[in-house]
Amino acid sequence: MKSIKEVLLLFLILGAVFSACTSEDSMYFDQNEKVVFLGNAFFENAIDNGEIETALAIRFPKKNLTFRNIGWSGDNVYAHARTRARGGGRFGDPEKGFEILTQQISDLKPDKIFLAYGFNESFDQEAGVDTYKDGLKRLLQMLGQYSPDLILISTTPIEKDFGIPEEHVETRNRELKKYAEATREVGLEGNYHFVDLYTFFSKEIQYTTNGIHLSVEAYRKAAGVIAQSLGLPAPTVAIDSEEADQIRNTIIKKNTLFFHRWRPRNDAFVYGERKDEQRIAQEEPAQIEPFIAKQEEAISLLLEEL
Amino acid sequence: MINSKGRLQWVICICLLSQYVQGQNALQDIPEPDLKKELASFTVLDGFEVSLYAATPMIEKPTQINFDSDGRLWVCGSHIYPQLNVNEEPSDQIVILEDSDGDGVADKSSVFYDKLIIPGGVLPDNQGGAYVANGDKLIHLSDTDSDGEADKVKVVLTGFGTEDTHHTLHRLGWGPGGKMYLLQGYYIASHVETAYGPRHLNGGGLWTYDIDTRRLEIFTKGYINPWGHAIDYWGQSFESDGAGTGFGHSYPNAVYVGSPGELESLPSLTPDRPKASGIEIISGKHFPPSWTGNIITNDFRAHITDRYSLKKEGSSYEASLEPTFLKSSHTSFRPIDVKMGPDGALYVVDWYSPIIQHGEVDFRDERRDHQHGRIWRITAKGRPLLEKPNYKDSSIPELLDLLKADENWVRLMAKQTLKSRDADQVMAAIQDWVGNLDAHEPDFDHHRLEALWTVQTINKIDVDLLKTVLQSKTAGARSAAARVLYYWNENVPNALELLEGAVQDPDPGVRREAVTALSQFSSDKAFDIALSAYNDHMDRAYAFALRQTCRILSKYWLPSILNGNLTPTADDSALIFALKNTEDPRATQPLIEIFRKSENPDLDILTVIGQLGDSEQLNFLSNLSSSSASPYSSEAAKALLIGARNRGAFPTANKTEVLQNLFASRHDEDLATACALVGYWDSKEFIDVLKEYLSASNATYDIKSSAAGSLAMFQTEDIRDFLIQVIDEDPSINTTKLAVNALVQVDLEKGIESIANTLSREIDQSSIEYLIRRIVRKEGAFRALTKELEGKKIPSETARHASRYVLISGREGAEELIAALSIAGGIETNAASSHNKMTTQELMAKLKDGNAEKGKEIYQMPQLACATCHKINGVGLSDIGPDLGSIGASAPVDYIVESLLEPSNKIKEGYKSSSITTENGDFYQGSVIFEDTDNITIKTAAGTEISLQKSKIKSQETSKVSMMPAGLTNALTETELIDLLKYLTELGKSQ
Repeated sequence: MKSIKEVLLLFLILGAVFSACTSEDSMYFDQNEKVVFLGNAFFENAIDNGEIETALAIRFPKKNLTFRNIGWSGDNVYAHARTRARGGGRFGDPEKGFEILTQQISDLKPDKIFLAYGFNESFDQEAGVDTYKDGLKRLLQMLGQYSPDLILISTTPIEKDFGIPEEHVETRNRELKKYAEATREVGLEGNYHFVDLYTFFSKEIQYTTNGIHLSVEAYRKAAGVIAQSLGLPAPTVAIDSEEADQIRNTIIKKNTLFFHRWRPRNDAFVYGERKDEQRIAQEEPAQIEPFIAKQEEAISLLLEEL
Repeated sequence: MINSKGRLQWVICICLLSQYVQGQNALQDIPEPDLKKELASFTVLDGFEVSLYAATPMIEKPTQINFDSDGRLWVCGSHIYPQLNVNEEPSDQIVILEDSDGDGVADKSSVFYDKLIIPGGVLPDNQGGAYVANGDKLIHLSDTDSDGEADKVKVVLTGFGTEDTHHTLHRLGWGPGGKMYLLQGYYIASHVETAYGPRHLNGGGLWTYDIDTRRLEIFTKGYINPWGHAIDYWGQSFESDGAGTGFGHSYPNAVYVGSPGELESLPSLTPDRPKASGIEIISGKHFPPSWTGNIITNDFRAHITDRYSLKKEGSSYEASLEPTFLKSSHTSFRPIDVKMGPDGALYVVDWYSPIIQHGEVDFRDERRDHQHGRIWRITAKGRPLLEKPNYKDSSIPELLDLLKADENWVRLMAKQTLKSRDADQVMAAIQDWVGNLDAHEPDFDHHRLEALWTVQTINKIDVDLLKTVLQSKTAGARSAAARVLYYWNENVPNALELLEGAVQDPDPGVRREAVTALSQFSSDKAFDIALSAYNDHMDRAYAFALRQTCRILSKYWLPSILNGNLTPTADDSALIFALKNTEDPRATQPLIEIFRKSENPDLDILTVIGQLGDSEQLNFLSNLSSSSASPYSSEAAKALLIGARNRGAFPTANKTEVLQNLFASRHDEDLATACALVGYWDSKEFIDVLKEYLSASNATYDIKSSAAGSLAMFQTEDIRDFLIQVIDEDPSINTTKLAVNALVQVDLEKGIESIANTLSREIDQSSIEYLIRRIVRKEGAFRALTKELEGKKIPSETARHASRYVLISGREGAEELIAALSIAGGIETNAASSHNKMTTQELMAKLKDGNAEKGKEIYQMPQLACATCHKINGVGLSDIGPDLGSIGASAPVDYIVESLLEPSNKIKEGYKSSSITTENGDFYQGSVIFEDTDNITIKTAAGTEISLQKSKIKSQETSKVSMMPAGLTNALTETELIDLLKYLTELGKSQ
């Protein structure tokens, strides 16, 4: 049994830690923390460039952080795109996506979750803002049960000169701004961190690959905005250094392996209706685990050397 | 680059040694990958010849080919298929082939890119780069330093599903208006983000993508394995399906089989044809003129390339199979894509593999060929080959003149090249070119249409040109112009006026396109015009197009109808069509209003109210049905029954009056409806009436059946005793069996006891079937009956028949019940057949002694019931199981053996069944054919469709058990089994 004094001391320390963690102050990363990137194609596309993850990793090289990117193109705060044929179904019920996500988050038990939503919801325009906010709150509440730190990332504006009619770009950006604002409001209300990429990119040019999705260079800039907004320390090496490149390449390798681990091709045979047809299809995704671990080790080693 | 001619055979020898020696012990008939032998295996129609254009190692296993404007052939291939290995780096390739000396044989092969995972399609951009379908992404590859290798990869679209790698994004192609077409198959769930909103597509479908505006849209939905897509002279689309529907005619908004959540779909043009892969349309001067416009598609299972002729039929087409074009006796010849080449010849892509199944054969089965692929070339003997135009060095006017070419691909490449020229100059040149066309030229209308497509391709709009093409003499041109309006829609001033004319066109094909184009407008007016195209003799494609437009536009017009702001110009029958097709509960009230004011009302409206109406609206039905004076009393009652049975929806008023009125009418039909309603409505005051009808000697079977069904819903002791009494009195076997069935629902133990007693009497075969089929659905019933039969005697014939139905059920406990039936019937149980202990390998070894003709007779034996569930090339009683028409040609022998002996080990894609247990313990097994939020419809092995309310379902799971019962072959002798296997393994091999 610990003495009352010890327990009190523990409370005092914990209290100090908690107060340092409010959204007003710089964000704190503890040893061995697990970070999840969740959202639509904003994060899914980041799997292949690792920019945000690298930017965070080289700021905390000795913390042994691990990152899991579970972004999914076309997803919304209701996790509709995450619906998969489960328990033998052919196509899941969209409402099941949220359950699947909840299960995944409770398995991963992340310490921090970065969320990027709002792009797909913004097509519901003004009329959908309240529904979006409600959906986002429900999502945050669920995530909060497993993860103490939630960081909201705003939408980014659509870019001109990609063949998309100009008037459409303008209408869209009015909507996207509304949804960035809605995200900010939810963040403020729930005392979550909020990173405004909308304002930043509305002053930029040539930051997308197709008018809607960020280029690799833009991801690097976005990472800078995120770091600054969260008051993170300066990186131990320059983001464009050879060392950072090496780390980034290893991160991308790890990300790709993890993608094949949790979203394997032939999902219908691994989890869905055709599940009973293939033994090997079900066994193989788990066999990727040691290869992911190997890349994680390589990343840690590279970071330790900094 | 590889100069292959010298190395080819040497490489093949190595392959043969290294790979195939190991594979031999598992499967006897893997052929050697010898090109000469494969070439010798072809039988081609007289007047044509086949030659080899390219083979491994110049290409990987090919999945799609496309020629570019330089005449180079881009080949997309995958050795990784069907699944990337653990920790394997992507390494599938895009290869470019060239025939630099023009001898019809590729002599140069270069790898353009080699970091892909199972790419399903490649489409050159005709500027040195290409689009590639790479699993979840559509990417663009370019070669910025012109060294022949891609050095820049751009992700164009992402979010395509990868749930099943033989269904992922595939088959890319350019349309005549410059749009890209892309396909995805069943099991794929795509969520693609675009500047115009996320695009979600579950299941198969054909996408269109505009590379200029980056707009991605769904063109058609459905087909299980949409594999190929071709566009004809007038811009009409045809899709082939690799899952047993051949090919069909496609137009925007159309839905075909297997699209999740869709209630209705269109048939293909060849509904009973086997699997069709790639598809091409013949054009150009090299092939005989009579072949122009013919469809070429492949039956990859049967090693056949087929030809069909097309005839316009109403607003769509009719297809007729022509004599077999190309066929091979080689097990590994798998024609999967087909394209006309720049020389006018036809190029057939050969995936080359003895195994073609995706999931049914293990992903890592070593007999899968990961190496070989061929491209064959078919030419017409004695007919000159064509010179490829030099598109790159042609001026804009010269390119425009190429739009007059006979060859579909020349006109397409000319437009693609014009896309790379200055758009304003092209627009000016088009004006001159069209102005100088001779209106008396036979193809004048088509030339002008090509000009319009060119405008569309370069992403401009020319309203005047569109208007003139809409006025063409040829219907094909007018319908293509209406399609252009589908895309330009509200960007064309007064577009609706143009469509107002087009929906009255004398040609139904033009009207169908015009009705479809209207779906892209956002106003009541568009709906009103579409509705004016309604008539009471619409063909299926036309009616479907109108249905879709009504549904798509319902967000505009339905509120307007409801608030009285819209009175359609068309008559009530058109509005009823529109309202009914919305399947929107809000449409019910306007339908009631129409019914009220009609002198001769459409009685289908009552059905719709039953399907969709709320309790207030159901009161309209109960009011109609409660008075003997109402002429619609019977129909209204039937609609009430639909509401009660399908949705558990009831009226709040007049229920008793309805029942009184129906019972008083004394019409048999009304009495049956009334008896059924009593149960669903829980109208206890009529229980005695039900009892009377069940025991009445003069009531029809339908009445008795409804009465028994309703009685079973009241789970009371009084009813149980009554049923036992009826069974004891045994007025007639029909009444008895209905009472037995009801008793099973009320008290399983007593019910089973009475079944055992009834079986011990002399009863007819259909009654035996009835009794067994009723308990098949009950959890625990087989076990109970097995116990009940202990020490009982039943007629031997009864035992035999009953055993058969028990066996076919495939339910747990069937084996024990059959044993009990046999003992009670005093018949000897089947001694374990000698073949029961034989392994697959042993059976396969004996197969050479089998007699396929005798096997055919065995297949047709009624006790095996093969033909009850399977068709052979479309002939058979039902399509519960897969068509076996070319099973021998498509499946390895061990797969067939195992499917027959252990059906549950190998369940064909699309034939998985669901096991559903309802709240009252009923058990159903069947394939889900429809599902929405409230209901689920399954088709059972007996071929009946059963609709169940989801709220009444206790559990539902995909059955691991095949709908095909195990042990069907137990009664066969070893010789008979081997003959049957021989027959099955020969199917499709020699047609």
